Amino acid sequence: MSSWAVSRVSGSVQDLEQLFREHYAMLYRTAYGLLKNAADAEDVPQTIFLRLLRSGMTPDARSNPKGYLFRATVNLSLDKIRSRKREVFIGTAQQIEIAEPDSDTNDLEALNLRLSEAIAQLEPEAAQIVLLRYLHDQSDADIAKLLGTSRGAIAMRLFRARARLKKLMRISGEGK
Amino acid sequence: MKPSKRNFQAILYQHFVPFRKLPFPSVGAAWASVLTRLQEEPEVTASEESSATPGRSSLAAQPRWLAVVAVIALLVFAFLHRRESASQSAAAAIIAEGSLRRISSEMKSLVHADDRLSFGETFRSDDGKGAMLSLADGSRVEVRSNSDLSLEPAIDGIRVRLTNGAVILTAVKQRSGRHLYVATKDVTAAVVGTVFLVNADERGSRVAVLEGVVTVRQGNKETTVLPGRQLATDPTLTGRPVEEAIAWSRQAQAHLLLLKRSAVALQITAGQKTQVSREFDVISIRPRAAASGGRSGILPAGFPPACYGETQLDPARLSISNATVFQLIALAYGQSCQRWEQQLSDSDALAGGPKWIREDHFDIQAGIPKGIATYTPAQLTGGHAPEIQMMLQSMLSDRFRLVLERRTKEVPVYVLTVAKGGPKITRGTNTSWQIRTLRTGPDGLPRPSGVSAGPTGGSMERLASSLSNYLGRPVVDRTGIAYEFGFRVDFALPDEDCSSCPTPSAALEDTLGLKLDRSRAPVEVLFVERIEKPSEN
Repeated sequence: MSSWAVSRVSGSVQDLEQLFREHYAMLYRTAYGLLKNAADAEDVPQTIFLRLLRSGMTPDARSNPKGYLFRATVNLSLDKIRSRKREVFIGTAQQIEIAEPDSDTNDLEALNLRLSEAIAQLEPEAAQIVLLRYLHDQSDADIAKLLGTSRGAIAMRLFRARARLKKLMRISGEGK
Repeated sequence: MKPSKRNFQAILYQHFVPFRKLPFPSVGAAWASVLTRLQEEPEVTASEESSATPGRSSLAAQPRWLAVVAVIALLVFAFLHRRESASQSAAAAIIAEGSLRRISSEMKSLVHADDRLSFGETFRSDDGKGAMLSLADGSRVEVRSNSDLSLEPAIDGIRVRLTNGAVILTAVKQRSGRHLYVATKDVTAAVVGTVFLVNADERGSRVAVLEGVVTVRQGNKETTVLPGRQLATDPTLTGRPVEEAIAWSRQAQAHLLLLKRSAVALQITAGQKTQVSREFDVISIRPRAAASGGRSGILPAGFPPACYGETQLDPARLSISNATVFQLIALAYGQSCQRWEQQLSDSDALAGGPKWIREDHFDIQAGIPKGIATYTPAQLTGGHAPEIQMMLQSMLSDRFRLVLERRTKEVPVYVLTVAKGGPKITRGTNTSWQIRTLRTGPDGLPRPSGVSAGPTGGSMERLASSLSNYLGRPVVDRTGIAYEFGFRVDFALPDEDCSSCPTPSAALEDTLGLKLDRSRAPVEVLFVERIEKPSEN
């Protein structure tokens, strides 16, 4: 890194550290919820802040840091999943063997596996809404505020996201 | 299991249950890793970078030829930029924000963000727009619109020559013997680390100090201007209050806070009650029966966790739960509670007062009156919510009867001296420096856990300052080494369990030939002159 880059960066390092400390838990859990892997979940928020340290805060990030960081976390996590194909859904070889369920417990694990795969195939915007609702337990209004859109739009996208998930998982019924 | 329409939402909720309260790793260690990666990892390319940028995640789906075109364009840009950079190696500053017009050369070109400014050239900020310059040492020069200025090398630093307009300088602490100057037609202001405004027009000049101390020379006369005070060479220049004179700044709120804090500091010193312009509508302060919670991993081992109150802020209400008075004072005076603790708790950055100000916890609910600017919790904890901070100061003064005073106090320090055999350092032009902290890795071998580094500026002052941050108490330099030198030191912090890692004192002696000893020395601290348990709601 050049001296110019260092000096350019130094003014905002404290602000970024503050943001990092404030939102780290949410970002880590979001990444973990998608990646199911501690090392990757640790890597995602770090990578996002590494980029912010290098390139500075965009106007979008300045105006809505929490929303920006959440969206970046989901996007980067999805990119990681897609770049690793199927391996990312299964932490260990032992878990791969659960693919043929023969009990209720294994049924549930297999279902979770299919759901993980389906979420990874959602559009980033849809995955963001699903995670905010079902992982972070946010209301439509809170999600709308965080993502900068209307409650109605969130309700509609959530409905479509569920329908898409069911289709991907080959489950019949509407997206409720 | 056959999921149905009825239970699909339940399946979704259940799927994420294990992650909802998932314990997360130490935030401090994670941030240290970010800084380590900043120094050690190569920068990713722009095309890689954009993939995780919110709103652009579908880039990967674009046709391949677009990526090829983008790469070619980047290479061409990099080549041209490299040539330009090489031709401007003597640059004095870069533009961090905004733009300026180069008016001294035949080419009246615009210079934009990230462009470099050379010594000797004259620049003008356009009508309605200012710019922010970043100097090589990290100091910042904010330029008001319609201002003319140039940068000149001085024997002991850099001089900003302002022929018309206004600038606000946020000067980082200069190395020993170095100064940052602002020269107008009739005065020269010299600083070593402070925030101040300089106005210049045909009538004369005005220097207003927001923080720190500025020495102003006018002819043979030298005047020291204290924070919150100003000096003008023409009486008509002081007619407009400083608050108005800095309103154009991008950081006007932060500067205003500095100005108010300076005024408060003067009142504190005079033993007067803090005067504030705003107060909360309604305040409820409820003591907690016992300390609970605490964010493990944020603070180094052995430091009392006094900074884990949760702050919630909306336009009508401020809510701080589980807060110590230590944290409330840090919030009110724009300081980072964690940084106070991490860097200075051994030295009592906030000294005096009973033990309960760090141990007793309170839940605060306060109504924010209408007409107050809206701030985010991050702005408040970052010290950028001046009106809320003033109201907190008022609350501490009224309900806790807090009286603060700036004092000099003898505190535990580390002292750096030259070890027997002399220093093992070489004076040089390449003064890059690096301090790495170590921990035991999974393989049992030492591995870096954090890093501070810079490509220039290696000096005793830099070494002492960085060590102070790591060791949690001031480090006093008594080596007498005044020249610049590059250095690299690796050590484990005292609370790190790493038997194969060197201690700070062993690493400094082995690597640099310097001795680090414990001692005591006077430093300035905020002293709690008086405080009482809060009055009834």
